[in-house]
Amino acid sequence: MHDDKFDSFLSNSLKASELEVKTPINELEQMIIEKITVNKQKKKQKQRRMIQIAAAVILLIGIAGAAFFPEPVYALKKQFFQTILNIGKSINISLNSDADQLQLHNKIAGEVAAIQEDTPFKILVPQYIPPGFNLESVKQSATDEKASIVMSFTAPNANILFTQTSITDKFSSSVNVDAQQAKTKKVQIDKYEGNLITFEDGSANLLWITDDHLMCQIFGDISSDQATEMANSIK
Amino acid sequence: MANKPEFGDDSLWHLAIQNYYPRIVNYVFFLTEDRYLAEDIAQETFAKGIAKFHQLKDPDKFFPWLLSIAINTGRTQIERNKRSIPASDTELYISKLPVDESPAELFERQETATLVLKAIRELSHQEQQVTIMRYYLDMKEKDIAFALGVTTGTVKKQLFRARSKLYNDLHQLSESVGD
Repeated sequence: MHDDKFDSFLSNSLKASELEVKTPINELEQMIIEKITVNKQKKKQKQRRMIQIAAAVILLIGIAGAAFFPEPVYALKKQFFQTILNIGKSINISLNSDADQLQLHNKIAGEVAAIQEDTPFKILVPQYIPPGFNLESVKQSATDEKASIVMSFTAPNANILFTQTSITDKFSSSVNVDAQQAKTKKVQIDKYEGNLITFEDGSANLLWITDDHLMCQIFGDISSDQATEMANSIK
Repeated sequence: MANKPEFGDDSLWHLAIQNYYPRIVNYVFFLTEDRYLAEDIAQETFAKGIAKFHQLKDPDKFFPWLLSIAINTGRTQIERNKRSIPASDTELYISKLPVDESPAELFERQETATLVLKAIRELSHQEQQVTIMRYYLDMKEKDIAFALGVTTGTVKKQLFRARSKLYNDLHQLSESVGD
């Protein structure tokens, strides 16, 4: 048999065996759109998990730092945070809904009041929440002697975490930031100096320490300006 | 067009679905024998393709690029579903056979198609892929190489091996059909 003849035989046999797709194209398009939506939701959930894990890692690094470096390497105000963040996420920030600020603040106040009594420090509350974000939760966690409060804000495509952790004078840690993925700069937060890390994907991480020995951190899908404004609004 | 598909009659994705969806369904079906899985993978392929469209560098490679997404999407399922043809699936193959054939001709054509598919499924997974791309999708070797992420030389070797095996299995049958 000639090569061409055999090739044609294979080709014709396969084409004669093909399934006929009878689903109307508009139905197919609808099913594809649904899959796109599901994929986006899965991606968002994954990103949320990554942010939460990253935040937990940052807190752990801070706590571990105190254990490994019992002597104050730097004075409290000159702390140097070590954050290895190579999250590699791509989050589109979409902040376009108008949250009812008053209702939001009441909600935050209610949550904070519920756990204030069991918290060894006065819980700080941001007065400015970027538009579109709503309060998801205010949680308390305690590791060893360090108490932490984690406020979680969510918007349709974004998350912000505001954490506050009590630390001691001996607390110390160091920071490395992947220069390819992030830029750092010092910002003024009230009378404190903060370390602002801005990531390529538009997210930011802002860390500072208060006179009351609280390490504060704003982290998530937030611009550097919004993070600074949020930090400065904290009372 | 990145994340929001526009499905007007003349839109790229409308035309792409119209032209390529059945081909991707059949490509996966020939490998898996599972019509529902094939449709699911094809839909997922388009959903991912729409989201990743900005990553396509060469518009001439649109279909091989889309097929590479299908391959990656269905890799696990396709590997898992390698098995011989279940008899219950046979009726699915006749849907596009010519309607002007006599029952005897129709039966013979069905038998031939089933035997060819059986022979293809005896090949290694890579050989099955290149065979279906070459003989069903009429793809050029360089496009097959692009879709599979291998060199053209590898595709040539796999096609040669696959064709030789198929010839040995099917040459008597093909002679009788060709006469």
